[in-house]
Amino acid sequence: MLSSVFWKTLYDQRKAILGWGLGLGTLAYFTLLLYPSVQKASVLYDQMLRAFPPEALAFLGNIRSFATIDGYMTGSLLSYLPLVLAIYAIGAAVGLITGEIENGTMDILLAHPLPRWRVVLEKYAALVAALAAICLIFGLSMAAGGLTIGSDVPPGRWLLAGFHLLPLTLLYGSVAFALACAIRGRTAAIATATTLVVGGYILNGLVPLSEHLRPLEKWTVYYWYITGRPLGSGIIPEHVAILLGGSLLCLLAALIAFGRRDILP
Amino acid sequence: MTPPVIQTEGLTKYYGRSRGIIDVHLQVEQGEIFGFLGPNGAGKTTTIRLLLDLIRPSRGRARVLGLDPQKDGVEVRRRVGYLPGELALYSDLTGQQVLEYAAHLRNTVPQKEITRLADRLEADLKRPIRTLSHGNRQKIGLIMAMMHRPELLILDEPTTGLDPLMQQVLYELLEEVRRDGRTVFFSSHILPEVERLCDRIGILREGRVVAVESVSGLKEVAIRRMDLVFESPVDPEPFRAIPGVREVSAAGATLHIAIQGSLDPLIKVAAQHPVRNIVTYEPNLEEAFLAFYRREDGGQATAP
Repeated sequence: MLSSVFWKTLYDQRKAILGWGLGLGTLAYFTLLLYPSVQKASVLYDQMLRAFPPEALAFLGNIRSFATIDGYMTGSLLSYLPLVLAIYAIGAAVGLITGEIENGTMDILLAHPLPRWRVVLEKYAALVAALAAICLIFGLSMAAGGLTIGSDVPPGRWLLAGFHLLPLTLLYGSVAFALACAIRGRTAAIATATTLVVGGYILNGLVPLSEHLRPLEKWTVYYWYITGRPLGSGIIPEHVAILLGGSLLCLLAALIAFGRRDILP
Repeated sequence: MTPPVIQTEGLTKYYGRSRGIIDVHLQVEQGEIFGFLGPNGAGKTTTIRLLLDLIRPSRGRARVLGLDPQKDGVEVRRRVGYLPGELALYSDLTGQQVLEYAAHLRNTVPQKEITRLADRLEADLKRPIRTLSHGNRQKIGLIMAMMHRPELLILDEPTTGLDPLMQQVLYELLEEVRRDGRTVFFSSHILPEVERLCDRIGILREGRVVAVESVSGLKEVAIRRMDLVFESPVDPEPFRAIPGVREVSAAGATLHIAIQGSLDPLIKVAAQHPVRNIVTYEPNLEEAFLAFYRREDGGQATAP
């Protein structure tokens, strides 16, 4: 596991991957166990939904009904889960760069014959792999929950729903990663990325209140995630591509910025 | 002719507005042990970090093994071994794992050399880094810096935390490096080790190189102390006026004098009186070192 920066970084994340994967997976599993009883009472739940103001529904992913597995899982879990996983993505992204600079091990790493871009690239690849592993465990847990309740959703769909978390959370992590590569200290990276996460989610909820806010919707970033419905109408490849493109831009910025900066603890 | 192993020209680094180093000119030749001296905050670590391209100069340039540390960083770092001043290692790994990781990053696994160095330094490679004392971590750092037998060793205060016995072992290892024709550049503020090991010394003060000398050359510019014993008490005032004289105190017929530079004017003044004896004391490096730190504004260097 110590053969490269990539494997070393992933090795360091092993406990976090298991913890976050199993934690979110358990949450998904038990949420699914409740689905049959919610479905039986869906008429009541849907009456409640109709009573909700549109801005409140926006926070639940604008679902129309708890009667479908897509509506139920989006409203009760998938609409806000990227915000939870963002905590890991941002923390890990900043830790990989700023953490290693602050504790002094970056000095040792960069004293070896590796170009800086390779250190950035391998660490970023490890971040992607760690997030993908968490999404995989999460998707498998949902598949297990689906099997337990006898759902007719095929296993591939559950896995797709798990991986659908990746582009948005990766973008949150990538923003933090780029800023950690560019700026000394943790504050700027964490504050900016957290503002994007929380601010985007809240703004998304406020959009139904005023037509003036409508143009901002797409800038919340969250929009490109919540419009995809892996358990319902399907994901929207262009939206996924936009999120991944954003991450790629962050990676480019990270490569350039880290190549130019002073490494100062 | 081989180029200097380290060459800096006007190397300058500011951190924002605060001074790192200013106009540092240095030249270190192949096969020498070069000591880099200065008090804390003088800029020793800044210079070293510039040589390794961990930070970038504000002005001036550096060449390491004839290469630009920024453009040819990978090649430079392949041929250089580095021990940071504040060594930090991955605390959850064992010494062996840390060295394996470092070896992979170098695309070479010099296990024989790791074992040889670990034996010499009596390093414990099996325990996790977090359970090791500062000195024992330092040994892992030294093995990491030396295991690939680099052409140039850059060590930032390498003996910190080592017990006296291990300091001796390190001195022997560094002398072996020199015998191989390889080069050592190390910073220190421990004068006896510099005096014992170094061929030449650079002294840094407030970001500037104030002297680059051989150890013997440095002693020549050092303050010499001497006792002039006369037949009868003499007036110390004419002695105080002699250029280079730093201190004069009288005790009976004896004058205790501290002088820097040429002794000639002192001897001429002394010869105006009958002299019974002259006792001179071998200048030590510490006095030489302190001479470079004497403030120009009249403050006096004090030597023990």
